[in-house]
Amino acid sequence: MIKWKTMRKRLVALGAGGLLLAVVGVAAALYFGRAKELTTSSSEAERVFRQALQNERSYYLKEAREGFARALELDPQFAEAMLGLARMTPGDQSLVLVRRAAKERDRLTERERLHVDTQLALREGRRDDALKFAQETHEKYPDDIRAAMMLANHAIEKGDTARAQEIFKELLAVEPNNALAYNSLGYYHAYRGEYDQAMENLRKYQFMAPDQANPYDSLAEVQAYSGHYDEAIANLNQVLKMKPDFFLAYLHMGIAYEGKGDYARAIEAFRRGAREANDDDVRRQHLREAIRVAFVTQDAAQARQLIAEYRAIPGDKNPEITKTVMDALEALLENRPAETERLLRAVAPKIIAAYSEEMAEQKQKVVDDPGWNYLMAQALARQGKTAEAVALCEKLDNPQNTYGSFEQRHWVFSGRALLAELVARQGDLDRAEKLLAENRKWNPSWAPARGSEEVVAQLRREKVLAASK
Amino acid sequence: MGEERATSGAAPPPAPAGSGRAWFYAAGLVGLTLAIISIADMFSPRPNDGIVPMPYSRGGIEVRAVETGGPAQISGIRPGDRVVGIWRRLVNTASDASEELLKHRIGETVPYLVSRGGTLLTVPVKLSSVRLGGSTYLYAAGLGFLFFLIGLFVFRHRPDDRAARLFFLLCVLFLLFFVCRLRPASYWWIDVFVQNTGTVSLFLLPAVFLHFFLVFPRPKQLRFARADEWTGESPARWKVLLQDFLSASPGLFYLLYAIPPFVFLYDVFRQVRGEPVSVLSGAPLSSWVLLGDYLVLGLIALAHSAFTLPDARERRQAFHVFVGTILGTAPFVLLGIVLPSAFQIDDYVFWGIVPMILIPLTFAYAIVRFQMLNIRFVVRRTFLYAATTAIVFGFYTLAIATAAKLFAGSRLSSSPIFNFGFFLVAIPLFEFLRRRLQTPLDRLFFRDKLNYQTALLSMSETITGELDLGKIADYLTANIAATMRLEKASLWLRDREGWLERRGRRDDRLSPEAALRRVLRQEGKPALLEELSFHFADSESQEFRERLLQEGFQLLVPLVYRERLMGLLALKEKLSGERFDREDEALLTTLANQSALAIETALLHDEMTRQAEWRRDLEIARDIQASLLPRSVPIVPGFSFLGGSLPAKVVGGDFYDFIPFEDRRLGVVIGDVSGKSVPASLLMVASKEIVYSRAQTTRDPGTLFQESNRRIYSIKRRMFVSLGYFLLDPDAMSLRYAIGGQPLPILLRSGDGGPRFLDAPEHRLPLGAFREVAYDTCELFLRRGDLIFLYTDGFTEAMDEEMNPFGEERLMRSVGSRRDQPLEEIARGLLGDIREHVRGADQYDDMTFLFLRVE
Repeated sequence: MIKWKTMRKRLVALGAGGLLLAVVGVAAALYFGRAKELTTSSSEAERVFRQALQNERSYYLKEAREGFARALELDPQFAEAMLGLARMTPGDQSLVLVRRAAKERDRLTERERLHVDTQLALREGRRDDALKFAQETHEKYPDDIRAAMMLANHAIEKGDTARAQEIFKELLAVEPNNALAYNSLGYYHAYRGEYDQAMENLRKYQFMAPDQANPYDSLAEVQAYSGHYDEAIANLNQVLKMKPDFFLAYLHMGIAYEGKGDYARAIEAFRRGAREANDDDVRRQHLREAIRVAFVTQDAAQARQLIAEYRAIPGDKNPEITKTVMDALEALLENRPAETERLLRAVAPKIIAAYSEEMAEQKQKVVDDPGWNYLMAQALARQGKTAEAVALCEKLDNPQNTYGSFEQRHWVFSGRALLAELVARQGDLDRAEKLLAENRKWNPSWAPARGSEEVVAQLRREKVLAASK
Repeated sequence: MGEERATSGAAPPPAPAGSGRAWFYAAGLVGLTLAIISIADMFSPRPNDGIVPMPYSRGGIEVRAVETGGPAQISGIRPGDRVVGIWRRLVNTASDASEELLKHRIGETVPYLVSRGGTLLTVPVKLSSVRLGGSTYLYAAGLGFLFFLIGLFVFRHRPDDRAARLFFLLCVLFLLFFVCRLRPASYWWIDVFVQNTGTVSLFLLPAVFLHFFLVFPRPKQLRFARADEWTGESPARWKVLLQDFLSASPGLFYLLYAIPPFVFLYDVFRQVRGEPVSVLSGAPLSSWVLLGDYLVLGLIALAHSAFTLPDARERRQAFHVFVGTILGTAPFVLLGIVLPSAFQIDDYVFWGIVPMILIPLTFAYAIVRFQMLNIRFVVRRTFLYAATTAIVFGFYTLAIATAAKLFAGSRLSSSPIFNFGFFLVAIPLFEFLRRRLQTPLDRLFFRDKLNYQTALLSMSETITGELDLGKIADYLTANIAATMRLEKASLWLRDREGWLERRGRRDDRLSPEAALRRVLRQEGKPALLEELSFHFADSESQEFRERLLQEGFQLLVPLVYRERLMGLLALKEKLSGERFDREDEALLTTLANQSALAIETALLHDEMTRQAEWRRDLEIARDIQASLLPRSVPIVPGFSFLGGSLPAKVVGGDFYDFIPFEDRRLGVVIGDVSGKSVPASLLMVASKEIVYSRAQTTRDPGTLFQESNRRIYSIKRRMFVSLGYFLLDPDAMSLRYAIGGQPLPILLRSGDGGPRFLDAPEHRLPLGAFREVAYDTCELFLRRGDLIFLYTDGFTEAMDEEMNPFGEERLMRSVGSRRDQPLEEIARGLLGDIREHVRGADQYDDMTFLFLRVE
């Protein structure tokens, strides 16, 4: 018979041995079962790809594109490199690359397959499928930043910023030092006007990637729209010091100067951005902003010059629309509001049709365009059609997507300021002041709104004086 | 009684030799390694930011304090700030920070992301170099190592003693507590590792502390569940259960060990749930409170021992330790636990630790002074040598200095011969001082030892003068237990067959073939039972050893005289708990030699006395037997008889006799009693008398045997009698007979062929074997010339040297060949044939015969 003590010893020994085996087993399983993340036959290609990916995440798109291309050169069957290059490539070429990657599908890891499926669905216009694949990726790989961003952006498009934040918090729970997640979170807070939280997240992003330009740019963008112009300009200068060809910085620099009221520098920044941009669409975007500022200043000569520059950029998909809108703008600058109204009304269906085509991918119904609304409101107001102008301004005050990106936010500011001026002139000073207060909540010192603010203030003074008499 | 010396209180059962030692050594090694790592960490330069983090803070590191003049303070980081990032990395806990700091160099400027009042600031911090271990930590580490060394010393000398093992574990935990727990947070990767070890020690230490004092100096036995003094009513069941539970039961210890980790885990659980948990010196407050509670309970247990132990010496040990421990722990409980936990004052924790040095010092003193924890103070000569050397060299230095002063400037003082001369003077002084110092040191530390050495030698002298084996045995066991202060001593003595038989327990024996005896005989000196395991392989020795170990015996002392194992003395543990050392071994060897000689002398004396008594008994038996055999044969006209008996030993169990009846009939009895010598003779007498008395009333031999059988059976059940009863009727020429166990007589009928056996009765069992036996009677009608030979089995079973019996055939042939010769010739010839057959071999059995011839 085995004695208890002997048995106890054996049990202890057995337990210790079992534990050791379990530890070794788990270690071995972890080591050998480590899923290979990237399917490539070349370690150099993998290294180059990772560097390119890092560049992409840093928004160094040029370097990223070169990196993905180099990785593909080193391993022509490198699916993730194909996808990366596709993301950097406009138009049909990107679809070709994604389809090429799809041919490698069978030899890819599950994660890679999901990336391919998502990209393919996206490029082929199957947005629902793309979202489904992104959701599956997010559930299986919560640290997948691209899937998280896609889902979050989709939530934002629907106006559900809370869901967007939640997605990134899920990601951070798994990978607490994912810098891009803080970038996204910062923007999502900024969209809601939660600037403190936005700054906190963006500062973390900046802290984690202090040698990259994008964190400074992100921070500056939020600072610019929230009225911290000098800090924004300092950060943007830092961006350009770090990476002179980071052309997005000029766009944000222009916004900062515009907000500050230094319109000349704003226009100069937009112009510089247009020069530095490596893409015609981006150039046009910069010049559009410059023209808008020129309109704010009512500098017709400057505007005409900018319009000329804009028209010189080749590859405009909708030249007729562009021409009509620019003509309408020139007419307004030349104080021919009726002409402006006519031109804008004529072009409106074309604009809606063109935008709807663009937004079809996102299945969003385009009902109007904020730029058109603003110009038309100005034209109508100058003709004394105040009621119609007010209606358009109210549309600007309540945009289709409440928490839309900052790029659309200045239309809200400007539209709301015009609305305040119009209702103030109609005698509803309280509403006007409320509208201006709402503007100040988002940005306490947006220079283009100052004119309207002064008008409202003057009307209030007059009313007070009248009452005192 | 002398066999055993009972002691009060149950001693802890000794662990089997070597079992579990490795675990304790491993624990010690792990503890020592961790302590060394911790100390190395504390005293090695490392990049330092000067931040003292709030332990267990998450979502960034809450700054509890900043070092004065440290990098954090210089950079403008303030207490209350929260560090959320270090060098491009967001940090959640202090361990994240530790991991990040490891990547940087001393002097490097590292950006810190600091949250202050809801605003995030990037603060460049130039890392400085720091050695965290200051004088306070050095003191704590020294104290920890003092504990460890004393614990190791005790464990090395009593590795199988439960209390010593616990004491060692306690010391290892004290080491870890002082070195790993009472250290500043180093903000280093190892900090988490070491501090967690310190935390583990924090919740293990109190349990081991209390456990130790519950089994030291012996397991605490509580007696509060007593029967009612007046009514004798048994105590309540729950009281008995509680008493058993509290009396050092395994369940109690499991509970003691379970509570601290449970409390700690509960705190962790609360922290995980986000509930506030009070923290003191980096550990949950509840763990400190529990430490204080356990310390107090341990001190109460120790105080209980100091005042209630039955042995005055043990009480003194416990009292010294109690005083030292209470002086060492009370300030810590007050300044290190009560003040911080009740009043949030933790400025005096260090001053609570300082007196804790009294604990190891008291233990060290108790070990030296009382040989506490079973430690023989092995440094006797070392100590003496060190003291003597120190004194001599002190004297030497003083003399040199004095001489140099006296002879300053002279040529003599500058000569090397001057110093050498002093050296020569110092050498004889050394021996002189050593002898002078030894006596007071012995008196101080070894008085008890000297006393018992004297007593053992006195015992040796006493037993050599004793001839009574019983007295020697009793004296030896009783006095050796008393003198050496043993729990028990038992003696196995050699018996006449060579077995070793335990005194007072006849069933506890060791056969002469047992290998253990050979080992002990060859060894010839005391041997530890634990160390005998590989010396023999036979199961009897193994079982004997296991049995002794289970009884708690530790030492076997063989009593050997001229390579004969005369006895075996088994000794249990000393009451003091000391191990048997070499001096004990030498003294016990001397005592064993003397005892073996005394036992041999006593055995010889006993044997001689017994032999003398035996011889006297034999003479008496011989007289009895001689008186029972008929002096002459009866005279029956027409019949002749011849009878005789040759006993195998001095006194035989065979007999024959004649019973004459008034009606001319003649009864003839021949018998053989089982066994020999005096008892057999006495049964022979009894049997003969029974048959004789029954024969007077009963004529039928079968009936006579039935009646006689009952009577003989009632006399002595283990002995029986083979009988043949023959009733000769000369007038009727008939022979009626019954036979019980005897060989069938041989009949030689005139002119009727060869010899043959008489007809056998149906029932022939010996008499006295069973209570009720049916015997039947046979009858033979005689003819003239018939010869009947009655004999006992000694004839047929007479063996030659090759153990071949003489047998019935030879017997018939021998008698048959001489049938016509006179009876004396037949008898002589038969005996001659038997002598020829056995060829000088010893007679195996009595030979008794009777011839009856019809003339």
